[in-house]
Amino acid sequence: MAPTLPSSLSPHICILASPDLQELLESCALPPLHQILQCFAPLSQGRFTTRTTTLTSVPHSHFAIRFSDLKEIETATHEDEEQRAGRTLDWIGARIASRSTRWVELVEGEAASGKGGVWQDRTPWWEEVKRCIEGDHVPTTSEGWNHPTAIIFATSTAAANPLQALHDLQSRSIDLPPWVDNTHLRYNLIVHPSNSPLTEPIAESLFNAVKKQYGLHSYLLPLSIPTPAPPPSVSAPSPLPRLPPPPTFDSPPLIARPDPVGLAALSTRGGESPVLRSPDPQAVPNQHEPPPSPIPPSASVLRLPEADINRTGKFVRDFVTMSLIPWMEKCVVDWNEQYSSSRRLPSRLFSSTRRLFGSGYTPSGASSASITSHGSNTSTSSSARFTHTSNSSVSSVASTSSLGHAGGSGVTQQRRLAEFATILGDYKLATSVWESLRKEGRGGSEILPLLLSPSPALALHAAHALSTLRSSAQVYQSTEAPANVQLRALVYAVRWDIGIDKRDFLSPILEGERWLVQAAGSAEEPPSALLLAHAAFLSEKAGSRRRSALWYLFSADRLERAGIKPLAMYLFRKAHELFETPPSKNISPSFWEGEGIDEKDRQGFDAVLPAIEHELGRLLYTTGNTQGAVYYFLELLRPPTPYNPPHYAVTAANGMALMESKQSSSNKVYLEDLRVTLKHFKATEPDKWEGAALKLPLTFCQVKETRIRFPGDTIEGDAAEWEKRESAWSTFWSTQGKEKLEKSGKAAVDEAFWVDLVLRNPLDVEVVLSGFTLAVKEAGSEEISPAEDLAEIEVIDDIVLGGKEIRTIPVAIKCKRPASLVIVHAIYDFLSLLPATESLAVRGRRLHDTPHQRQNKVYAPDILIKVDVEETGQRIHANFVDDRHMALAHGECKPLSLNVTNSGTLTINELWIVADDEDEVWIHQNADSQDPSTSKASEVLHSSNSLAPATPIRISIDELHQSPGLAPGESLQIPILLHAARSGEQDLSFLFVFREAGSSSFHCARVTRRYEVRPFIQIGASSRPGRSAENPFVLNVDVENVVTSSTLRITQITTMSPTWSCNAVAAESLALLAPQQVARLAFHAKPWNRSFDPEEVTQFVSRKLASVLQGEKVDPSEPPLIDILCNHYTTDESIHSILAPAIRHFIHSNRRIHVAHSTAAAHPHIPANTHRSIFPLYHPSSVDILVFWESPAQDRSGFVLLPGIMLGAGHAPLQEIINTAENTKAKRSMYAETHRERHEILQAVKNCEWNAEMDPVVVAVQDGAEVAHDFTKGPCHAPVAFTLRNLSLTNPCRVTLRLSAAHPHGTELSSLLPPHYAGRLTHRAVLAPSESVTMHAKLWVTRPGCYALDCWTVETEVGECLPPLSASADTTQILNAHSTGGWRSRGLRYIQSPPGGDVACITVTDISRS
Amino acid sequence: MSHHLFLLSPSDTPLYQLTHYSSKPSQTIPSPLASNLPSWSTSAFAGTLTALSGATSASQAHHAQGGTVRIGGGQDRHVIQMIANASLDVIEEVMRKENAMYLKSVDKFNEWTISAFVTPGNMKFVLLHETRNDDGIKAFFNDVWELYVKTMLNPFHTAHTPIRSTVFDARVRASAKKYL
Repeated sequence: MAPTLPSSLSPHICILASPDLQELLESCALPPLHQILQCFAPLSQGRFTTRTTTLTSVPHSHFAIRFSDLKEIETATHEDEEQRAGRTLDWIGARIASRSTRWVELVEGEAASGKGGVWQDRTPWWEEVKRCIEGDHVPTTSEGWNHPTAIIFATSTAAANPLQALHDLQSRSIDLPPWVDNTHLRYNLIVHPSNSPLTEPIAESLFNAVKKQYGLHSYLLPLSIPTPAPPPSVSAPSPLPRLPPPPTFDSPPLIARPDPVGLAALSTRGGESPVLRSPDPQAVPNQHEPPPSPIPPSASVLRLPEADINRTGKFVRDFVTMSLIPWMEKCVVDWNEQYSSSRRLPSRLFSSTRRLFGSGYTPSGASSASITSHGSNTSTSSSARFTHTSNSSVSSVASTSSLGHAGGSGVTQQRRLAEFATILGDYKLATSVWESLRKEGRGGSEILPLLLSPSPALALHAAHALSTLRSSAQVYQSTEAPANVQLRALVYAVRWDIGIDKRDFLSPILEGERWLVQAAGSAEEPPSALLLAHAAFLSEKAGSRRRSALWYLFSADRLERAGIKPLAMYLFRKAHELFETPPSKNISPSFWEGEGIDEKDRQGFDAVLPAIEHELGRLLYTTGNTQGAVYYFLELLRPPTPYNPPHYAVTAANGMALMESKQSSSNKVYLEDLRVTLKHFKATEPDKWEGAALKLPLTFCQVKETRIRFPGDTIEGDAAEWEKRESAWSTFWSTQGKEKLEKSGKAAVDEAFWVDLVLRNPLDVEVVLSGFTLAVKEAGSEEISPAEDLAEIEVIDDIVLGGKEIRTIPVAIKCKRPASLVIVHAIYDFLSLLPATESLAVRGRRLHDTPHQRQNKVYAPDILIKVDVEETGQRIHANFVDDRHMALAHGECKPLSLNVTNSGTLTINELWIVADDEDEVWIHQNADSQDPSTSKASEVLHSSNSLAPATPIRISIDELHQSPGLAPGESLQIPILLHAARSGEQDLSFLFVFREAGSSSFHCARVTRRYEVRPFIQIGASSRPGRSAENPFVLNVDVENVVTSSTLRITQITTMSPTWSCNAVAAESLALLAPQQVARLAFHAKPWNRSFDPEEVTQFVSRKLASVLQGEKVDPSEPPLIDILCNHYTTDESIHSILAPAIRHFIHSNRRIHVAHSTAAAHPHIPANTHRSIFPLYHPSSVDILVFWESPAQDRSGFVLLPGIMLGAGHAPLQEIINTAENTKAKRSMYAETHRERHEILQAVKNCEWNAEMDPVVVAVQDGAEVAHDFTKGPCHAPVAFTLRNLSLTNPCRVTLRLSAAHPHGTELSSLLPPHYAGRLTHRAVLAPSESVTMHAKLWVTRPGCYALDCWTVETEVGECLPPLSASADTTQILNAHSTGGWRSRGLRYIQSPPGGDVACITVTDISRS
Repeated sequence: MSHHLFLLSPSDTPLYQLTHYSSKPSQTIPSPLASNLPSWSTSAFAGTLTALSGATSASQAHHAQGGTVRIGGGQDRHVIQMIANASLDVIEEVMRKENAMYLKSVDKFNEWTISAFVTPGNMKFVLLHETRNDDGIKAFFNDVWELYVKTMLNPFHTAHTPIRSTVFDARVRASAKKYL
């Protein structure tokens, strides 16, 4: 198949017209002859056949041919090639720049209309480049296509002497440079117009004379012009654009040549129409009717009569078929003869030798040098040129430069052979000649791809052609290729694009678009940029959209730099569009569904879109489209998506430049650009600004973290604590009435509340939000902007947010009437310019109710922030009078004052304070109640003995305020006393509950205060059995001052017990206690005579625990009341009475907190709310110690309670119920946990203090006795007394004292002499409660010494206290009485021996020695 | 001389990117084919130079600070990313034809040669480099693959999760230092 060659690869015919002919044409308003003739090219009517060297016919459907004015060519060839190339590039750039706006509109309009039009498969800018390049007809040194193939000498019969005129033309020397091949056909044309002075026959004879003189290549063209009436215009293809001549002084550079006179354009710029038809083979010149091409109206027209058109057409056809083609065929045959003879062995040897000696290819500079060195050749050719003035019409074939020319890229005969063969369609010959040229390094690679069938080798040819071009350019050592190289590369690319079939060109074998990219290289000129753009266009057509995007980007960037902005913007947009829509991938849908990610969420490379958009925005701004620029700049502020890969990977690669800083600077640039653009837009186009509806893509509000804050809310308080208070109140009030506590989360009319908005700056640059405010609406109403009477909303002038900063901004709202407000939006001006609205709605929860909801993501409606505003009927405002930081010492009593103001509109008559259960707070209610000052050393405290928690305290307003109600605006001071019972940081939080009067619902207010309690004093206590019967126990109390700096004074120590009465052992003075010192005091404890029956309490506990163990419901009865004996010990005159209500309250709550904690710890499985009906507050045998202290230096005073010392022996009072519980048939439960829990409850009960048991007997050995004996009289008996005392206050016990000779285990190492008891070794007795007995034994002493009084054991058996035992002194009687049968054992047996380290001894001295 | 590595998920989402500046001297020995290739790669920074020399200053006189994000001669981050993106066209084509994981040099844009590695899980590792170093790149890709597989062993890591592991990053850097 014959390839369609580009029209620039066609015979170039130069016309030298005589002046009379020019005048003739001008007078008929016709263009110069070459333009008229050009309208008839390419020839396409009928079939043209050329013959190859092997005489094979080659049919041509078209035969392209180019006509030009010889004088133009002569001038052009004298211009420096490089300069001309530079001018060409600039000229193309200017043409494109001036048309680009219209093209872009055209193309975009067509794309918008959606139907495929002319520009579906091509682009106007590339067509323009092609036309410009194809239109180039000036011969160059490197190739022979533009070298004239024929010269037509044209004259007319209008001349005075046509023959002479022709002769003048023939004899005119052709002023072409020596490198232009002068092998051309000489042809004579005589135009015979109708107004010629010569008649037809004379013209004929003139023609015959010419034929005779100049040969057969002559033609007489009779024309009917000039006609009287102007002929109708016939449309003709517009001529190809041609580079204007170089500027002279009076013509500015780069002005488009005015349209030829005859080619009157119908449109204003017909010649520069973007619609190009000349490369279109359908544009048949000879058609008289308008050709069926897309847009004929703007095409050029030819004002020739139809007959003339036909005649001229015939001439062109005759010229080509009769003269040009035969002449070219002859040239080919002749040259081929020489070529093949040179290819014969010797010359081939010669050439291969040359190749061996390595002149593979030489740069063009060198080649031109070689041309000059071959002076003889040049002179030969030039002389030959001058001999062409001879009458031989056929120029000498051999006149060209010698065949074996070594020049690299000069136009040789061999190259002309290849070119002619190519033109004539003898591709077999052409290919072989081009190949051999290529092998010799003299070009050819650029043409071969057009001739050969597609194969991967073609890409190499193309690459080689370009690289040869560029390597020759390396001579210049410049960064950018010289203009000539750029132009040549462009020419190659254009030829490839035209000459290679589109399908082949885009096929993966050739990948022609890459050739274009290679041809573009790194040149910055617009034509190179358009090469890239065309490559991108082709890539897009070939389906490589991503590569296409890259090339679009490159070309757009170059065009932008060249200043062709509309086109640059279009290409940027194309790149943007292509990048944004990635090709669909064959990925399983599960790839997305598996992770719950939407396919549309996929993220590409993160830096690309912002870069393109920024460029686009700036281009739009510089071209005056501020609105578009604003849109792009706004887009740029999109926050980065969470899927983006981390930037740090890019940031500090090998410790190199930080990308992060660049990132931030780019954000800064975006923001600054946006600010400038916005400002400009707002200032210059206010009407568009209104309609633009600009939307900020950023959000600042962290909606989920938005909070509403009311004036009553304290920031510090723990929300859980407040809930606890409120529930404590409702528990308390549920027994009293039905009125509800109104929630505190309500705002009041005319009282400000705050919306705490958390703002986060997603950018890393500082931004300013001005006029920040909120939009509210009334619930139920639609309109967002509220009426003026609804609410006043604070407007914050300027908020400056640093990069990535997070800040909480409170916005105050004051509502003017009761309503339910919905906070809809946050409103602000971004950068003080762009109004923005941000919704404050939170997405509702995800729904899972129906299958549809489960399978798709369905959410409940958005949740908006709602605030109820009520009338300020009942409101109080409470605060502490002194709000400074409070540091207390442990145990300190601190008077505080609370200020309560009625800020509502109604009088408050009922006011309660709910404090924490564990805070020890006393409120002075009764001003009259004085502390009962007493001087008695002991007092009796009547206790409820109940663990019931503290109830809210009602403030009697009338006593504190002297009126029964707190009127609006009035305030009230509540004095409170705080006892710092626990150390550490604590909150003192009060919930005020109040109402106007009975039956209305309650409202509440809150106040909280933080305080710190530091350890100050530490109390320890221990007890041991006393030695004497009167004081069965001794209590040691240690008081330690733990502060390091301050001295404190202990003013009073009070012991409190329901059973025991304690008195100080010695009347020590309670002196000052220096820092880090310990004071020790000892107390005797003896049973209190007025003691109640401890059995009552014990039985209460035992009954309740029995029901617990049996799994029954505990009945809610409270424990019996109890009396507590308080013994004060002080050295002062004044005594702190514990009957003072505050102290009494503190003691009670302190004790209650202690017992509640210890009970909860000991019995985790018994529900805490039943503790108050199971366990009493006081254990009967407990002793509490209360230490009053004061620190004069710090002006503090207080007291510390040490609860829970147990005195006396218990005898497992719960044994029975435990046994019952253990022995009942266990109910089987299927749950092991239940079983285990039951077991743990039993164990806890067994181990609790109410079930304590101990050996009630203490043994006192008479210690330190001395016996004097005269051992000369023999051994003696030393008496030893063992006193055994029953510590139990309730139970008798049976004791057995056994004396033995053997050491009990573990006491052998005593340094004392071992005792040797004699006489009765076993003593028995029964001891009534609190009774003691002394047993007398004898020690057999054989020598003087110190005898240890050990080696005894006491066995004890506790008995039941069934019969009321009289404390009789007669031990034997009791013994007898019980031994007779009244004894009942409790089953508790103990055995004791001398305690380790006991050194009781008896000393026996020998008086005989003294 | 720098290298740019991109790890792309099957949906072509970049999960990890690394810029590595090689300390090794660039290998200037051209391949036999190089004479046939365009030799204009030396002028890669021509664009930057023109940009810096103020060739476009007329169009951005009031945007003096905008120079930082200008499209330069190939070193800009978005150009690198664009090139990596463009190479995916060829990578996908080569993947269809070849069965290997290491795809050698699949494409070339200006001075950047692109090598790719496709894991059986369809993850694409794309490396932009300026010199030929087939063996080193192959070893590097194998290392990265191993590291990637170890990262994927994390049950919380999916094919969509960007790799933020510092350990992964450090090891990839070490491997790059070793082979590139």
